[in-house]
Amino acid sequence: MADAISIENNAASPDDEGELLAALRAGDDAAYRSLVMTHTPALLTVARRILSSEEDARDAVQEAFVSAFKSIARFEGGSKLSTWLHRIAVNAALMKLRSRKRSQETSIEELLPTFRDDGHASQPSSRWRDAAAEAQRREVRDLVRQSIDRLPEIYRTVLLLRDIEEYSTEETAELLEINANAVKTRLHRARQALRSLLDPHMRETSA
Amino acid sequence: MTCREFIEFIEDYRSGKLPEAQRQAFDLHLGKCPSCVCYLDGYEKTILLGRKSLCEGDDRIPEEVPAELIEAILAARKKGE
Repeated sequence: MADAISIENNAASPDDEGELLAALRAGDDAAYRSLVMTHTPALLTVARRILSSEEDARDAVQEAFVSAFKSIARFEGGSKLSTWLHRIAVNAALMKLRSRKRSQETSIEELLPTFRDDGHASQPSSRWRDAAAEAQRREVRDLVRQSIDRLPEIYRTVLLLRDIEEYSTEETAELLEINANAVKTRLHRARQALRSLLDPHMRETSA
Repeated sequence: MTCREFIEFIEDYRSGKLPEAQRQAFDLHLGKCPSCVCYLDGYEKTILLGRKSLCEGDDRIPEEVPAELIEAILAARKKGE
């Protein structure tokens, strides 16, 4: 790609995080370039997952770095730089998400399992094919991504933060400014809804 | 136990957080409800498919970064100094 830079070409950066931090605090341009080159791919990846628009994702990453640059002096090194930057980028993406309306969302209620009056399932569930093998197929991965994207936003973000980014319940609650019980409830509903969307394609009997 | 109760507390069951007596009730239900066995199977595969679809293959973190984004970020830093 003519407009992309390979990270491997950017080898002249201090490996030691403490050394890099010192250089950043001293305003060293090369250190800033190294930081941006090293961490942009991961931050862009997470921003793209949260925001479906490439332009919004790039804006969020830029805003995240600007925010990080301003507070680099206060970074105490309690966590790794990558963890700290990741969280700032997630915050920037979530802020951008809150500022815009989404369309074509499926109602979560119609994707949840239904039960008879006696509490037993209205429709018996069927066994699924092997997930690890199915995930090797590009069309299955596309289907999963599209299905996640169809979830209502408040459920989709919890699923992304808990199951994909692997934040804890408490961290997710803090990022989304909701309580831990709400995270647990939304995650369970999100997984159930995603399961419903994938079910017709994953049944052992389906093609 | 009903399917509704099983599915409502499926995550507690999976995470092993249930008290022993409740866990036994869940196991008993699974022993006689093939539908809930399949539901649990699909629930766990849903989580796995999500992870594998978004974190592996062509969806993993790319090795290349957009040059114009890098320059825009560095320019924004200079502007903010």
